[in-house]
Amino acid sequence: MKILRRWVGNKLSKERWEDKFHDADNKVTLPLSKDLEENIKNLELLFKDCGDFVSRKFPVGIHKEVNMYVAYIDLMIDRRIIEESLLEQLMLQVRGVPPHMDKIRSSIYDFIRDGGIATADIKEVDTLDEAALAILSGDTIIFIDGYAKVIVVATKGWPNRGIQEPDSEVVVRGPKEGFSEALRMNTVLIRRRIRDTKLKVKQLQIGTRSRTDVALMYIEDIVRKDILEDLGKRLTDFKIDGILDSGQLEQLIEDDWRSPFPQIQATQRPDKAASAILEGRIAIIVDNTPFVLLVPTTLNNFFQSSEDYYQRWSIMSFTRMIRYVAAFFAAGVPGLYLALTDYHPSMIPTQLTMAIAASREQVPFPSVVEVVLMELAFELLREAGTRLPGPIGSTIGIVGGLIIGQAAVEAKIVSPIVVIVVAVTAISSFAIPDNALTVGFRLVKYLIIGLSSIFGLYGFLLGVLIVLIHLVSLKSFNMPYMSPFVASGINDYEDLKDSVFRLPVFMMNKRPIFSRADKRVRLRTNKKKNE
Amino acid sequence: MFSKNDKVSVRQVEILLILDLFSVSTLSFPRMAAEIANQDAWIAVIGATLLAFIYGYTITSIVKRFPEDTFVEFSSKVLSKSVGIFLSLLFSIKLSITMAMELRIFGELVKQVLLPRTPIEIIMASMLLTCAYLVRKGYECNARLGEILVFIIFIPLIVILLFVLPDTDFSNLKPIFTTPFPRLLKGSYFLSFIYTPIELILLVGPLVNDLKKARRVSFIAITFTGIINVILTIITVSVLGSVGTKQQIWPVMTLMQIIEIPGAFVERQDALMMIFWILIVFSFISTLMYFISFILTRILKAEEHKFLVLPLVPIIYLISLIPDNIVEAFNWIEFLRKYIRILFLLPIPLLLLIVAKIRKLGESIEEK
Repeated sequence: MKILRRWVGNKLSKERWEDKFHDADNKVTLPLSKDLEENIKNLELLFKDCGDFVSRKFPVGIHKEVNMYVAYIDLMIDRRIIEESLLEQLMLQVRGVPPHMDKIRSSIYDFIRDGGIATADIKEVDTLDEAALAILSGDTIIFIDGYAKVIVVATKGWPNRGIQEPDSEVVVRGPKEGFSEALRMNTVLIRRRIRDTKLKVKQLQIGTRSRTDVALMYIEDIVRKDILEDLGKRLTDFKIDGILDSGQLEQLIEDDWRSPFPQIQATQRPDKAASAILEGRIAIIVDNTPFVLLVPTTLNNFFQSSEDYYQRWSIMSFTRMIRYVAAFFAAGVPGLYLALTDYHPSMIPTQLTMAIAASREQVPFPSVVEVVLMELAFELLREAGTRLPGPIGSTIGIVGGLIIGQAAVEAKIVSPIVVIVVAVTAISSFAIPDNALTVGFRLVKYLIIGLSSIFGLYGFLLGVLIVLIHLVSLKSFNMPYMSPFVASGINDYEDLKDSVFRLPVFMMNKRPIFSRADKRVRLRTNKKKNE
Repeated sequence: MFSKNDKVSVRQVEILLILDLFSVSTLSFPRMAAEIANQDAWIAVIGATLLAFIYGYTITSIVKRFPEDTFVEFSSKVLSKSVGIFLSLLFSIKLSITMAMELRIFGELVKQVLLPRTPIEIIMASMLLTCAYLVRKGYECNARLGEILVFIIFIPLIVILLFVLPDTDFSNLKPIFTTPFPRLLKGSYFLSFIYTPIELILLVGPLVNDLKKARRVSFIAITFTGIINVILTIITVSVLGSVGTKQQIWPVMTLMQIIEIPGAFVERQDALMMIFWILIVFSFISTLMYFISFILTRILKAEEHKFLVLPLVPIIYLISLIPDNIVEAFNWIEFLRKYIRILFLLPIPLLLLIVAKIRKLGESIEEK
């Protein structure tokens, strides 16, 4: 992260942002004046060469005494609001007001602001920078002749994808809503699920050119204050041009950029975000992306999917255990295969050894090369499948997997057992609910393959130990990454109830360690002991 | 929260102690017990455990007087500073030699069972480097890794031991109590060396966040390991017979080779046992390495221990290469065991305790 920050910093210092109109933070420095013509001139200067900038100057009042000026960006606004609530009011209704013009003239600004505009959301700003930002966010601004203040009317209405089913976190049972790209829509989706007055939405802007809206949502009395402060500090620790997705933000605020394992979780599902907030975590919503970040995160969180809590405990405990086993397989199976067949064939039952030896007889490469070759080929297939659109992508999967694999076996390039090993590895990596963690295991797999091919079973264990050491030393916002498997005595082993197995709901009556220590009880049943 | 000040909880210390105690000579101590007491080996082990309680009591008494200090500091306070530093250096040398010998024996074992054609130097070097990676991250990571490893190690171990039961012949344990009592006593004394890692409590003071429970924790660790050791001895002797146990260098390994797990597809269980052994030894060696660098850090009054770890690696490596073969390595350990290792378990802590009481140093904890 330090290197990223330094790179970003160097880039920024070479930029010549300070020109006549902007300061070092890309904020507009032109002043507002009471003269309408000057304001119009400054604004048009800022928006020179912007073909989508729409403006209109018109007089108001029975005798058309006062000039007003309206500006917005085309198609970012809801035209209906402007035309019905703004212009119609100002041009027609206000004109019909009987002229006590002297009284009104002295405070025509207040008159128009308080009575002339029929929308619910009006703000008043007094710098040109905020006015420009408002125009660029989809609001409409109104200049009034004779006043150095600007009225900002909320008229946001740009085209949006709307709420659709999330494509990456699919559940069988559970809500099928997914976040969309508009910040406000995402906060609404969470608000609908937590109707608590203590749910706070703290907004800030990140990025000097993009001025992306970022919202932090948390429940005030459950969240840990130190984590909130740490997060606030990290978010202001850097100065970047623009943020296009929460992934960039994640990389700038995470604890250890060198690790292949993600330390912040991203989700597209509002119910998952709401559940995390109820546990005491903080949701970071970034404008223009449907991926919401959840902070802090432990390893256990990546193995939990929303469905785990909506279905019953026995099947879901079983599924959880399978997921953990799958994680081990995804990293360890190729290495284990190499170690056992190359160095300790006596550990495998004799018949299996004979079968493996027979199938490997005519393959020209050593085992390591076979395994690495097949793994890389599979990575290629995976990447190709992601990029190809729709039906072609799935066809390639079948074609690639079955037919090419079969052909490779018959051409004696690889042995069938290696194909099985690689297939098991790949399927296991898909069983982990959160994609981001899979990447960690995919990378670590090669380390274990390398060590196993040199040192056999001893090397396999060394590889596993190195990975475990790394995982154990990771922290996510000062929370150990491997809780609840380590140090779970802190919360009376409550966290273990939701890790490898998922105990029935009525047993999980305390929050995990993410929340404040004194606010842990979340469930109380009325069942008496002898009912 | 627990992560800002990098202190470990008492439970983690307990787990680490169990891991350490289990590793010193677990594979071979049934042989030594059988050498002393034949079929009464298990009684000797019980005697050794009782002695270990005494050691634990003494050590935790002195540690509780000085909660924020390690052995380096309180030995300098109680006795004079030069004596303290001399003792600390002695301690660190002893730990280094123990670690080097342990590493050597481990390497020989791996070479024999898993990798016959690999040079032992590379096996030891790779293990040392992995330990160095862990030690550089601090004691808390060691503790957390211990928590995970203890599950991975003990649960399969106990399960596997269950499979030995069909082969046991408890009549091998008869006749009981035929060994003369003085011999049993001497045997217990010799055997108590397996509880040597208790002395590490001397160093662990400032790392733990609640030292008052230290005594209880050390007792629990000793009891737990003691029970496992006794069971292991009983099973070994009843399966192999007292003469057979004396003939194997590593009786527990032989035990593993005898087991037949019905229906399991793994055939060479001793290689499987090596997996647990590797994890156990790794945990032990990295603990020792951490404490050696920790002592040196405290002697030099340095801030960080990280920079001392890397120079330690070649030193330990070279020491472990000095013996020519495994028998010589065992001889070294015998030498250490007879003369030096008892020092830090009983006499020195006792001495420090008495002098501290006389000089009224440290926090007097008359109430437990």
